[in-house]
Amino acid sequence: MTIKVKVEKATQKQIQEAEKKLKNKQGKNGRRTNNSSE
Amino acid sequence: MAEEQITVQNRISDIEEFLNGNNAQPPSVNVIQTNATQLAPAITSVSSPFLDELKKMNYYQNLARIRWEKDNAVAGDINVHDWNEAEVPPGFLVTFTFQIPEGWVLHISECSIVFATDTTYKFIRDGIYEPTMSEFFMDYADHYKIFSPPLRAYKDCIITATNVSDETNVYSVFFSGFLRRYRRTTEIMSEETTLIEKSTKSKGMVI
Repeated sequence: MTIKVKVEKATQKQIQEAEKKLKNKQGKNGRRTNNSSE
Repeated sequence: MAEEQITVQNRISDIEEFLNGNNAQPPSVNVIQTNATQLAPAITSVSSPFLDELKKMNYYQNLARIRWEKDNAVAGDINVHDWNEAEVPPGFLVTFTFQIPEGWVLHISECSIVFATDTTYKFIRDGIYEPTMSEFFMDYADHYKIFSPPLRAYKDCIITATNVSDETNVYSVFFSGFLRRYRRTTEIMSEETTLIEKSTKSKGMVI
């Protein structure tokens, strides 16, 4: 049993989704940090 | 302390006892999947110390189950593990596929992928995208994301990592577990029907 690997160029949609997801995550982490310092 | 919080902590203690060898089998095995399904939406949308505990509980429950199943191995089980890596330029994505042979089920006890910033991960099991799995364990290690081990996978498992940073990243994936043969319910039912037909015919009965 093996792991197959494939590398391909991400579509514009995939990149946009990824950036949006990361942005949301950063927002959440930022809020959490602020809360914990209170 | 809320009642459900106490329940969660009790369960974690039970599971830790099991992992230390104090219990014969993992507690509440039957409710693991139900719990995971019910908790999944909450876990993806909110983050708090309490939910972190729930994530941990789910991780330990899955681990305990896999260990229990491994301790109760069936003849013909095959231990498997593999590792692979890929260099991924900015704006590219890598797809890692664990190929599961037809007629076998993969029990994954460990599954990790290297962690990089500005990267998003997806985990697809049995053809279904599992957002909670993709987010689950990024806090558990510095360099590796450890996915909550799925209990079982009947079809190929797929992990993708999309690199949206400005640099080329190297992603490596590792998994270990075991393969066990399985038969579909329909196959079993079909065999049982055939047996019943044979039996009734040999007794001269008409259905």
